[in-house]
Amino acid sequence: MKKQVILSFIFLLGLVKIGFCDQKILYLNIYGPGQQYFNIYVAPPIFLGNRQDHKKDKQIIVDKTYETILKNISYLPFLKSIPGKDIIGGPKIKGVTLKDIDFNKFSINKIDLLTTIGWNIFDNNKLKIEIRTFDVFSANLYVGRGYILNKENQAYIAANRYCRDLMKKLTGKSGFFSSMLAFVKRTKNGSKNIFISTPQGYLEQQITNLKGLALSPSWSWDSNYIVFTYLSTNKHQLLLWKRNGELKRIMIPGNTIISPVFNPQGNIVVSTDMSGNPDIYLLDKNFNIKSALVKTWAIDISPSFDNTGQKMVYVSSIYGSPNIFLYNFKTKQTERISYLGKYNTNPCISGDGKFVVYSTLTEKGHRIVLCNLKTMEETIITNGPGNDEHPVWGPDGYFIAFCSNRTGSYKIYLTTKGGTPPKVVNTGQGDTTDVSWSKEF
Amino acid sequence: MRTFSFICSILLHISIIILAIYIPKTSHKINLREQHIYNVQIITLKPKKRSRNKRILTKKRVYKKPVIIKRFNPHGEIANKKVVKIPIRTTKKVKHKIPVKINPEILKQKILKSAISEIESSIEKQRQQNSFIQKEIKSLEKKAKTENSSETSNNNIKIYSKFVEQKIKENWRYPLLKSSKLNTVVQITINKHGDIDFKIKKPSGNPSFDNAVIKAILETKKLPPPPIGGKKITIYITFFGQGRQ
Repeated sequence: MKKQVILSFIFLLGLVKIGFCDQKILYLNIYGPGQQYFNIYVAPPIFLGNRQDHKKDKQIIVDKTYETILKNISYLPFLKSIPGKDIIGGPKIKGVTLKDIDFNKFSINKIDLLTTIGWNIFDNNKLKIEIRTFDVFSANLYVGRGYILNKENQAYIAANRYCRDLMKKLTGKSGFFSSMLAFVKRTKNGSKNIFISTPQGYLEQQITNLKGLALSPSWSWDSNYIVFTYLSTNKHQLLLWKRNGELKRIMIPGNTIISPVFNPQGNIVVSTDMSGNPDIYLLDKNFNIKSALVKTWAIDISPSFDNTGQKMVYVSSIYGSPNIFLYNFKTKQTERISYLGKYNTNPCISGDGKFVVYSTLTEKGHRIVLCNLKTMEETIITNGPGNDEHPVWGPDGYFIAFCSNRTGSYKIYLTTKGGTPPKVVNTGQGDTTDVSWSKEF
Repeated sequence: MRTFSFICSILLHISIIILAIYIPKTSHKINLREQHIYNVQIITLKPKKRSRNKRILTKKRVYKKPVIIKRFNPHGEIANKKVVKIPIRTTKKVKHKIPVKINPEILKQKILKSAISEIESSIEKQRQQNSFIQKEIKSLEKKAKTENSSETSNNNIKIYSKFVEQKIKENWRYPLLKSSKLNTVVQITINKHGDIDFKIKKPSGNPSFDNAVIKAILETKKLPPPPIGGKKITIYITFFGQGRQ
C-alpha cells in the first residue's frame, strides 16, 4: 500500500513538473509609447432644444466655438484630430451624453477621446453650450463644461477655456491656452509697433502707436507689464506698457539700450552702454540702476531668467564671437553653454531652468538650438528654410515660439522641445518679429 | 695661242654636252607609281596528322623506271642512248590485312558484359562515397545539435520577444508630456495559436496610463505562435512612461 502511495506521488510530481515546463517566462521593457498622442474625434454640435427655439445667429456662435476647438487641437502635438469621414460605421451620435453614444464603434476606429458639443437656448435668448469629452475605452466622462454665451467674440474664450481644461486633465499643464504673445509688427506708416494676441493668433490687439521703431518686448512675470526699447529719431528709449494702456518712459543712462526683460522679482534688467560697451544692469523699483549683473570689456546683451531667478543666460562676445553664457547667482559662476556654432544669439531659459533655446548661425541660415543644461547636449530643433530666430519658451516649458522668414516674410511659429513640425501663428499681414511669451494668467 | 684655247674650249663644251646626253640614259630610274604593293598574310601550316588507318588505306605513289626511247637518227641507225627520262605516275593498290572472322553475337555479349561490369563498379564507388558523406553529415548534425541547439532556440526567443515589443509599442498611444515617471507591469501569456491573455501585475497609479497600456495590448489582438514547439509563453512587460535615457 505504501509503495503504491509513493509511486502515485512521484507520478503526480512528474506531471506537475511537465506542466511547469510547458511554458517559458520572459521579461521585456517598453520605453515610451510608439505614438505620443491620443486620437480625438470632435463631433459636430447638436441642438438639444425644440425646433421652434432654434436661432441662426446662435448657431453661428456655436459653429465658431466648434471651429475654434478644432483649430486649438491642431496646435497640440499630443492630440490627433480624426476627421468624421475616416470613421468606419459613420461618425453620427444620437446625443451628447454618455447613454447616447455607442463607444464600441469609436473604439474599433482606435479613437481614444470623443468630444461632443450640445447647445440650447433658454430664457428666450440666452445661449448655453455643453462641451464634453469622453474616454472611449472606459466609456467615462473625461472633461465636461458648460458656457453661457452672448456674443460671437465669446466663442473664442469658451473654446480656449475648454481646451485649457482638457489640456490640464491630459498633461497637467495648461499654459498654452491661458497666456499671451507680444510681438513687433510693421504697421502701414512704416513704423514698428507692439501687438499682443493669444498663441493661436486670436484676439490680436495693437498696444502701441509710435512713429519710430518699437523693439524687444518682454512680458513681466505677472503679465501686467510689457517693457520694450523704442528707437526714435535721435536715440534709444526704454518704455513700459501697463495693462490699462498707459505708456511710461524710463530714463536710464547710455545711448544704446537693448533687450530689456523682467526678472521673477519684478525688476527690469537691461543692457546699456554706460561705460563703452553694452553691459547688463539691474534696475530697482524706481527704475534706477541698482547694480551691474554682467560687466566685461566685451558686449553683453539679451538676459533671460528661470522661474527662481537663480539662473540667467545671456550673450557675450568675450571670446570674440557672440556666445551663450549661463550665470548662476547662487554659486556666482559663469559657464559657457554654446559650442555648436560661431554666432549664437537670443537665448531663453525654460522656467524650470533645465533647458536653454537660442539661435545659431549655420551655413543655411539661423536655426533654433535646444541645449540640455544637465547633459550639455545641443540639438538643432528647426530646419528652416530661411532664418529661424528669437526663440522663447511657453509658460509650460513645452512649447517654443520663434520667428522665421521661411515663407518670405517674418512670421511667428510654434514648435515643441521635441522638435515637432512648426505651426504658424496667424498674425495677419506684415513682418512679425521679436516674440515674447507671457506667463500663465 | 688663242686658237689653241678656242679649240680646247670647244672640245670641253662638246664633251660636256655628250656627257649630259648619255649619262641620264644609262642611270636606272625608279618609277614609284608603277610599283605595286601587295598585302600578304602570313600563314603557319598545321602539321599533318598521321594515322595508321590512312597509311593503310592510301595508295602508294610508285614511280616507274625510266623508259628508254629509241630514236632513229636521220641515217636510219638506232641510237642506243638514254635520251629522256620521263617519270610516269602510276597508282598501286595496297593490300589490306584480312581480319580474323569472329561471331558478332559473341562480340556483342563480350562488349555488353564489359560495359555492365564497368557500370556496376562505378555504382559501387558512388554508393561508398554517398554512405561516407551521409555519415559525415550525421556526425556534423549531431555536433550542431549538441552545441548550438540551446543558442538557436535562445536566438529565436530573443527575436520573438523583440517582435512582441515592436507590435505592442506600435499600438501604444499616450502623450509623453505627463507620463514622465509612470510605469505599469503587465503579464501576458501567448498560447500556441498566438492568442493573448493579459493581467496587470503592477498598476502605475494613473488610470489613464494603465488604460492606454491595456488598449495597446487589446489592439495588438494576435501575435505569431511562440517559437518553442507548441508551448505557451509568458512575458512580463514593463511599460515605462519615459523614453530610454
